[in-house]
Amino acid sequence: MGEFLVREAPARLAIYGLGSCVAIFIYETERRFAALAHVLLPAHAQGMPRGPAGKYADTAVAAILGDILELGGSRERLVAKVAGGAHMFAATPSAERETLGERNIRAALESLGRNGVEIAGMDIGGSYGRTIVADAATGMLRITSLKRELKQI
Amino acid sequence: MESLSQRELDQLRRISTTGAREAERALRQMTGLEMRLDVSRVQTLAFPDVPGLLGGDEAQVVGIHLRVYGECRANILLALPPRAALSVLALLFPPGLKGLDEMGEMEISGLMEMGNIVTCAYLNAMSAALGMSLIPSVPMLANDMAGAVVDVLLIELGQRGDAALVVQTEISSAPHLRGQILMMPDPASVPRILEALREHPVV
Repeated sequence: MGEFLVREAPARLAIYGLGSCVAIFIYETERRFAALAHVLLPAHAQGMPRGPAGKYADTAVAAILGDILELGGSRERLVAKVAGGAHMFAATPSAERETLGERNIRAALESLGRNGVEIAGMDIGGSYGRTIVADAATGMLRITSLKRELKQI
Repeated sequence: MESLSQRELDQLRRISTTGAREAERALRQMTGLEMRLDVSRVQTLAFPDVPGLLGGDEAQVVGIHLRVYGECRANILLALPPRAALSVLALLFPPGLKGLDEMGEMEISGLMEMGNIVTCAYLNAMSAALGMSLIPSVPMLANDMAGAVVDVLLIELGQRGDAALVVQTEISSAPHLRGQILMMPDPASVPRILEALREHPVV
């Protein structure tokens, strides 16, 4: 939580019990580098202590790109997938204009867009938790939850 | 986060135990069952370790969440394992349900109301002990993986740090009825709580 990992195939990366946080997955399709970040917040707030890069949507994407390029990956061969950002306590009507989950999703998509990374799949929103297992060999995410069928993106 | 001395942790633990005693009494009155109350634990945990208190990231829990406003900001979560939630529902609406996926609006309101009564009893006792006004929000309910249920609470703390001060108390009754109360004060409110503890020492 708040961290990211970059691994080369064969490897699996996982996040268990993701709620309103958002998972950002970035894949280098030829070298098969897989990166998965478990992001808590859209961005670091001024005047607050700064956490690890993987904690914020903007810095997580930048840090992952930096690591993949350093490993010898190419910017041209990157695709991204985004999952999570649920509204967990949906049984109670909320007065908020945008939920924490929605804010995280928007920030993740904006950050990927700014960095020119194509979005190849999404499984976002809803009001249920997700477990995500990313396979570096294939670039696929297996998404399971207590209330839904298995989903692959 | 301001680090707490052993004495402060001890006082916070005692105040929480006082709160939990009131919560236990409310639950006993509602259900008519004898309850067992564990002494509260106070600890600072890195975010990824918090779901472990509820059985792990993927363990199913029914969580009733209230925000606390007033002189101290905090989040409070009453977490029930599925069997405990079903036991509560069987007491509230006999004969109860076979599974939680059968829950309708009535059952959800029933659990929220129960969570409301239990957590308000807890907060009232804390409020009296600290001499602080603590005002709860309406209850919110989620039935899902523990990691997903607590992550909203952690996100709210996340802008200020990577660890949570967690005050945890378990209430149980044979055979399957048991629940955890987790109280997580906002880091900005911790100095206030410490000040209140100095003004209202618990002996």
